[in-house]
Amino acid sequence: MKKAAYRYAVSTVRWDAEKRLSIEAALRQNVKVPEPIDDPDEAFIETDLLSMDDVMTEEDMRMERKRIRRNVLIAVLTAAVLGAGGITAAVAMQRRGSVQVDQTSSGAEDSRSAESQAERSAAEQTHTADRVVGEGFSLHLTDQQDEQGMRGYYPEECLTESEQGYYYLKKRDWDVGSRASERTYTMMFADKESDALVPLCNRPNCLHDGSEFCTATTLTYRLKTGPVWLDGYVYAVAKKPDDRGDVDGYGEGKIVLLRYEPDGTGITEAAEIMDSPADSASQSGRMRFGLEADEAKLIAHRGKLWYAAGVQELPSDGRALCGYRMGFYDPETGQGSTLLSADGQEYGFGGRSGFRALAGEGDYIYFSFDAKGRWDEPNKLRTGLWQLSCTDGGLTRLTETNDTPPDRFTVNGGKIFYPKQVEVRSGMDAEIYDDYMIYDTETRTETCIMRHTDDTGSFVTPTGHGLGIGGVVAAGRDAICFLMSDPNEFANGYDAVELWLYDWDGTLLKRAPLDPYLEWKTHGEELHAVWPEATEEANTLMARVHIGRSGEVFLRYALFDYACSMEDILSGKAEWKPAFRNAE
Amino acid sequence: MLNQENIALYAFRKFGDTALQAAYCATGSREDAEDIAQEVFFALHRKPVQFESDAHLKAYILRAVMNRAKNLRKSLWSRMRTDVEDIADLPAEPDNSAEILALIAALPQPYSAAVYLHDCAGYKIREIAEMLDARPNTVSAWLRRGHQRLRMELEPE
Repeated sequence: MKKAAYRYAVSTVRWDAEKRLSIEAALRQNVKVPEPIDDPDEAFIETDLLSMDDVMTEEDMRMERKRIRRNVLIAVLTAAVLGAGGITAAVAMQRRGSVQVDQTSSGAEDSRSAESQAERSAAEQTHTADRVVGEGFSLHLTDQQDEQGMRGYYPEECLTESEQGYYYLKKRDWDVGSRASERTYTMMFADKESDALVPLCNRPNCLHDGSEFCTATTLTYRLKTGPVWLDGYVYAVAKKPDDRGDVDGYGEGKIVLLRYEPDGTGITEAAEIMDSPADSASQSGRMRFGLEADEAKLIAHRGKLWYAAGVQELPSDGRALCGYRMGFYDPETGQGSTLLSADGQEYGFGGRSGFRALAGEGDYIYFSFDAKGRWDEPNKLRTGLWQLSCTDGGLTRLTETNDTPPDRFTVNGGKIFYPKQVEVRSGMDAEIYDDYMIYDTETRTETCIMRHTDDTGSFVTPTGHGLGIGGVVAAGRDAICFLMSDPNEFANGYDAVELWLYDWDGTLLKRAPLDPYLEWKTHGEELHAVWPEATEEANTLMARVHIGRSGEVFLRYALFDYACSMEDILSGKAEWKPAFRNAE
Repeated sequence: MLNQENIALYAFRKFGDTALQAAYCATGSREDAEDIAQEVFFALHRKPVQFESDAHLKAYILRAVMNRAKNLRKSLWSRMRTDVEDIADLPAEPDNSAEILALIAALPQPYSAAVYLHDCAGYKIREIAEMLDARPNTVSAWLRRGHQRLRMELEPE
């Protein structure tokens, strides 16, 4: 089929005259409307790409690291002085510097209390103003490690594990579809002992209907991250709209760190991260597709919660602005620190600048940043993978790209596994594929372990087996697991045929057939993997092996998990079982 | 900034057919497409918003159409794949348009939406990814599979 034939066929779908007139009459309502002037087919959108001229130089990096270390030292010393006096807030740091120390709430107040309201009012007055350090600030780090293998890109792709069970988010069925409600969730708990999957709410006879009293579904908060377990509590980052009647969550509000009681008895605002302006950008269509204004990432690493959050706004002058915060919160002291921040940064049409992924290993926090358009801010964050030292605040840009940065990656032994997008061909044959890379932080080298090629039109891996990459199932401690598809099987509606396991040096360890799944093909079902899905603890393939009818893949991310240990796959004894007996 | 007294009417006159076509590709049903498309404009009429340009308005309309199509599809999966009969009611074209429309109707929604947005609406893969809340390479796969199926059906080996 030629593209022109397709376009012509689609163009024959038009309103009939009678229907058109009736709709226009309904829309008119006595308002005089000018006739359209431009040709709608010419309404294309230009995308701004980051100029390589903006890339930070080595000298910039060196000075930046030096400045950050100096400021962290100042913050720590300041905290020590203030802590001795028992003062909860005091010395101001840089107004828009690279390192700012944040005041956080004590974490003890109930979110619905009047006291909390007063705190919010006070904080509003200091929007983008000086940050202060609180009592008990400490850089004490524990041995606890980020459970990065249990986290996907979207909040609903994240699991967190406690001794009793798992916590995760489930999209709410009753309002899936509208752009805002696509991001409303039910906080769920999966009991290890009983395998029961229940909303995290212990209110008797609760309907879990979004009431402010339901800890699992409350619409008082719009969750922006999946849950993270640390020291007996569940944490998540959320937006708290000032107007609780704002069901879409587009009004002004705050980005806050929430702490859930593990049994669903309550939610506390542990810390306030930043102000969130009204999402006029989304409402007005300034951000072309009405995407959400705020996004956040949250991990637990070395005994602290590390967050990265970004907001956007559209002032009356029409400029698109966004800001971000990256920092940590210490649950032991109830204090935190903002390490990187920016406010009111202008950017172009290429989308929102911000953090795309966050992970921790050892002494470092790793993050992926996407800098769009006219992005220019004090920290000089540019597109690519970055490394932040937990101990001295040193900031290093690991990879550079003027394209899309990875929105997910896994770090293991100082090696970072991530997808690198490659765009090939154009027109009707245009496609974007991922090459899969490993960056070694020790040698500072980047190696491709799985590459797509486009010389034949059907994508072939370098090992020449004729299979295409269906996605990454997991990146665990022992292996990186790819789902491989056979284009020849696609006509049957099911093309995933094997799992390929690589070690972290890029060596193919095992090709494992997916025979246990093949029976599903007869039911017209499709296996679709979302990445990553391995738990570090058990080194087990888990979570987000999504099974659904062909075409449903982007509607459902329900917990539908099959688990199998990598060891069993490597030994040829793979036995897949539902991760939870009561899984949907 | 678009300065229109009645943005919904302006949008309908300018992008009414575009919305209908997008809705058709997303649902595979003429009836559902009309419902979705007109509801998008009615919603905009009830709650007008401002747009910077026609391009933004068009993107907003298409995004709204796709979201509503997702809603509909969630509950009416079976209908969406079997409305080929509707195609037969379309006016006869001097080519194989009816056949192509029937194939579009039979495509899974993400594939069809991606193909429409790419081949008809002219968006790039990354823009479609933003619009559909998907990763670019996922959209790429949808496009590839959508194109494969269209080719597969029309050009059998």
